[in-house]
Amino acid sequence: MSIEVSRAHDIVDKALDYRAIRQDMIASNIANADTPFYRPRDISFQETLMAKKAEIFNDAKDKLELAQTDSSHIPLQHEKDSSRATTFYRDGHMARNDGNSVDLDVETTEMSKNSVMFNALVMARKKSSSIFKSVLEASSKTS
Amino acid sequence: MSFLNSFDISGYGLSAQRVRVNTISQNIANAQTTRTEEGGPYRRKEVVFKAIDFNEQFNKALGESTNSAKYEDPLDEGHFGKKVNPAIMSVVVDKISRDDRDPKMKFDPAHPDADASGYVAYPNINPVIEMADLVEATRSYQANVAAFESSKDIANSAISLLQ
Repeated sequence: MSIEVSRAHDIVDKALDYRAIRQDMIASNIANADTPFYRPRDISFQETLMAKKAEIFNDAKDKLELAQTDSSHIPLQHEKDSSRATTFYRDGHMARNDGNSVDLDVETTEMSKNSVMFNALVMARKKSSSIFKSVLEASSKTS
Repeated sequence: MSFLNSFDISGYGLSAQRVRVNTISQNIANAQTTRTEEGGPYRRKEVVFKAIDFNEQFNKALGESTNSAKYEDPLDEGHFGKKVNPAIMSVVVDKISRDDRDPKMKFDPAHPDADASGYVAYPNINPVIEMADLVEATRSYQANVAAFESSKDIANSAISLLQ
């Protein structure tokens, strides 16, 4: 068990993870901008992070889950799988003649949004760490 | 290691687009070539790209050269062994295909390669199409550079967390 300073740290760390994965996925969409039959893919960031947040903060479930009242019921596998990040195909646009539907404008915009948000999260993480650091420094002076 | 995946993906994209630019340059340079080693006029060449599962390739190389633990997909939280679909894809040049359309026949009896009826077979290359392809390849290359810069920016700011 690690020392828990703030549970908000966990969610910022998770958000950083997902931003890094999104960066990979957008980079691969751009790399495949001329591959025949390639469909751009992305991770549904908000949804995944909200699920993670509910898990970290132990939020009450906003929907009633199906209960397994008898041992002979088929276990609800998909309920357990819901913590996994979900991906989707970003098919908003007409495919080209070669079946490729990558839109470079959309991908580059999403990428700069993603990296700005990543940097913002890093800043937030640093700021909140510095609060605890200053408390530690102050306590070492008083003793 | 997984953090630098996007560097490699963009790098593969850069190299694929560079192969494409080279092939297009070759086509433009040989637009008037009537003699080749295989005989006949030069044939237009075209690059075909293919998407590959990056993590799968990475694991294969890792398994062959070391006995380290397998790299698991970060999207797959607590579901090891199951394949995430769709996976993170990279790009490679699958093949360079030859365009076997009929050559352009031009009447020029004085040419040393003219046939019996005085026609010379020239490569079926349209410079307008080649130039349009070249611009497209250049733009894709630039987009990959932008992706690389953005990944580098992200990596540097993550490193700055250590300071």
